[in-house]
Amino acid sequence: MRYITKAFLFAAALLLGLEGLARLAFEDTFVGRFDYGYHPTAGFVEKADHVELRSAGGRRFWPQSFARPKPKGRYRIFTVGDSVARGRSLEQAYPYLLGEMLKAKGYDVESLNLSVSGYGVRRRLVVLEQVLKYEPDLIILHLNHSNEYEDEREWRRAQEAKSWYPDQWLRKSYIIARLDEAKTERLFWKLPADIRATREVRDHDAELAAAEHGEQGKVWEQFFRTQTLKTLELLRAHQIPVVLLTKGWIEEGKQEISDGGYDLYFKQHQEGGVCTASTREIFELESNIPQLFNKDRVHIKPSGHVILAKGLLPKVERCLFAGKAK
Amino acid sequence: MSFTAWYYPFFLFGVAALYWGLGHRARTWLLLAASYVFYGAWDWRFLSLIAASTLVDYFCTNAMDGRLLRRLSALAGSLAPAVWLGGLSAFDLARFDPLILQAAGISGLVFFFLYEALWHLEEGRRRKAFLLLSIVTNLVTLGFFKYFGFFVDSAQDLLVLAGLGGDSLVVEILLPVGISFYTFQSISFAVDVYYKRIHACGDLPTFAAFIAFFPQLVAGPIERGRQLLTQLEQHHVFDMANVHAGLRLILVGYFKKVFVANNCALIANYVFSSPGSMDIYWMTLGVLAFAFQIYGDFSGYTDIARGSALLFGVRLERNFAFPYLARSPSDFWARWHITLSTWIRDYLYIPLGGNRHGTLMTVRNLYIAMLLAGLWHGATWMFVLWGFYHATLLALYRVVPFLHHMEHAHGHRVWMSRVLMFLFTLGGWLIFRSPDWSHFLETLQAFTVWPSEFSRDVGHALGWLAFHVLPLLVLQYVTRKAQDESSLDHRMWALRGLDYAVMFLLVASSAVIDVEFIYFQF
Repeated sequence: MRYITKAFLFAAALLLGLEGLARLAFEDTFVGRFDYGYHPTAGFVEKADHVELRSAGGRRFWPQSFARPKPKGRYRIFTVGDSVARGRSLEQAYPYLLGEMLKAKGYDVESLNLSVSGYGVRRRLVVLEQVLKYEPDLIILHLNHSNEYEDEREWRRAQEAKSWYPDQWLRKSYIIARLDEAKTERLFWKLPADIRATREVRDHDAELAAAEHGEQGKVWEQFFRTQTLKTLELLRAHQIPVVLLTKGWIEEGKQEISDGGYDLYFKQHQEGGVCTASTREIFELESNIPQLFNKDRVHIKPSGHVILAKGLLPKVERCLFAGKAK
Repeated sequence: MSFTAWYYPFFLFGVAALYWGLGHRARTWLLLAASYVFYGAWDWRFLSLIAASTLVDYFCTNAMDGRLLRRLSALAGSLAPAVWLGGLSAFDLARFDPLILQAAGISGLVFFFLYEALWHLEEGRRRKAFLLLSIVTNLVTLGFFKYFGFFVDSAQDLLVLAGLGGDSLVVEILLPVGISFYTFQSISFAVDVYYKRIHACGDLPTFAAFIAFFPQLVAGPIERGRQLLTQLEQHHVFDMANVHAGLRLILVGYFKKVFVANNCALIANYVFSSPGSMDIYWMTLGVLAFAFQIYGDFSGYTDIARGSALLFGVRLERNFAFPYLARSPSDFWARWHITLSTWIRDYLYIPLGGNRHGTLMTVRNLYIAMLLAGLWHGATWMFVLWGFYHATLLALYRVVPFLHHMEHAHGHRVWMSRVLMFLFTLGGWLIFRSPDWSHFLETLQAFTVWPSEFSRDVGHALGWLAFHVLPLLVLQYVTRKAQDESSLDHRMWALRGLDYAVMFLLVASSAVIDVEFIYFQF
């Protein structure tokens, strides 16, 4: 009898040990992880004299750090966007390149990239609200309306994870929730939509992705515009200058770059410390635009990031340093 | 109530905790009450059906053993199902046609007068008459609820074929969950009492608990009286080893059902929902997925049932023994749904003569047994065809020398024989999974469609299937030498603990997909 008991006890100890390990040794990784980007401090690790940005808590920041409080005379720029602004690596993405260019011109500046893949207007706002605590001198807001369904999907997942309905009880364990999450993202969401549709519950991804191209897509587009304006209000209230960078992409079967009409729309809201910049306008000065994009015609190659940084440089200088000393 | 409902563990452990705190008599009542609550949670009305089946067999088997019940008890028992339905109706707890209430009352009275009349026959004829009454009542109930619509539809189709078709009559009768299982259990008990293999049970609550024992009520295993009833009659002493074995079986059962079957169901349901738009890659994936879905689903159910019963100190029969390692059709049926196979063998195939009267009669008996086994699964011609297919396989393995040798192969040919039988089994599942003939033809046609390239979608589906089937194959490999395919007792305790932890994590991270057990519909 004891022989059998040992195995069960060992299994229980193993499970509890794993859970304990996750909660104690990997707490940073798990805090906010199941808020799916809606946790205010996920990825921000505050130390005594500095803040570390980490790929943690379900928020994949590039590893960076900045001093707290901000050294006197230093300008601090935060770029908040999605996978386009995030780039292939920290050093290849335009926020870093822009910082280097500004330093080369003699400015005491640090440019931090807080872009996360799949982030739409709602989750960018959550990041921004946290950023306001770290004395920003300029925010570059990389705009794109194509992530709203992911924002909604992750919002629903976060609500589900918070639920205390009995079918969620086991998911209160970090280990179980993480396994479920990995299986959903790496295996389930790769299945064709028709297969996923045969599962009656919890396929927010399929449901929302399908809705994106219908009426819901228009609703989200409008939502994106109004929420962006609210974000600008918030930044104005904190008197923080902002560069609105509208995204550009190449439509299927075309050579020219598109901005979805957002360039014009946001130029109408330039007052009160808001500057605008356009990927389309910056890239149109180049001879071979498609060469600047990846195969998906949306994400930008490292060469494109260099051009974007160069194009942004005068805008940022004008917006940030107008009337200020180097 | 389903084993996969979130509240089932609370129900099970709550009842088990109460059970061990009570005396023998109170335990019997507790098991009976728990079983009726378990079944009633699905539909309270059909408790009257189980009660009727129980009372008929109780009266008939006791009469066979020469025990006459008092007239008032017999009358009360005969009318109990109607009283139950009347109570539900009076308190507005369930809705049904008043005709049903009248039918239940009249059936009860007819049974009572028949019971009274048959008792006065001389002993030999009385025993036979009560056996017939028990069997006929059970088969009529089963036939009405499960096959009435099927036979009406088939008769109408025949009339249409003969040019005599008129207005079609639509018959929709709700199928009571598990009816095939508990009626077969009742019939076998009556037959065993008739042949004096076992005595009738004089204690109604114990007998009622035997018919309705909740762990095996809705999907088996189909128990015999001498196996289950004798255990329910005994006073059990709490044994921690049973609790451990029970928990292990429950864990393995959930692993098979929740992790393997429910996830394989995604691919199988997709492929079989529109076979006309599939190609050979998708169909192959679909039939493999269904093979593991149905195995995980049903053997998982059995494991949970056996584990749940062990928490009360009751041992249920094994129902599966590595069926996909079978080397021949007869080997397959000795490993798949064992309690149904042995039921068919003992109560149908052997009484028909079995294999004692030459090849031709053996083949005839095989076809009768397998056609009825097929029909037992459901009231469609596809299940009959599935029975026919397996009967043909059984016959072919008897008469074709190559196949006969495969059954008794040695060395590396053992694996050849297993692969061949597995392919035959997959062929059977194609029939089983098809709701009708045209759907089946579409699935066959899909095997002739060769796409120009292997799509990424197929690759992703294959990955999903592999992720959910490989752990099951590992479990089968680990337990291959054990008598019981869920037994891990031969492994070192630390490895066993690791097995339990891994299985628990796999189950817990899959628990959100809730798919009903396939065998509930049978």
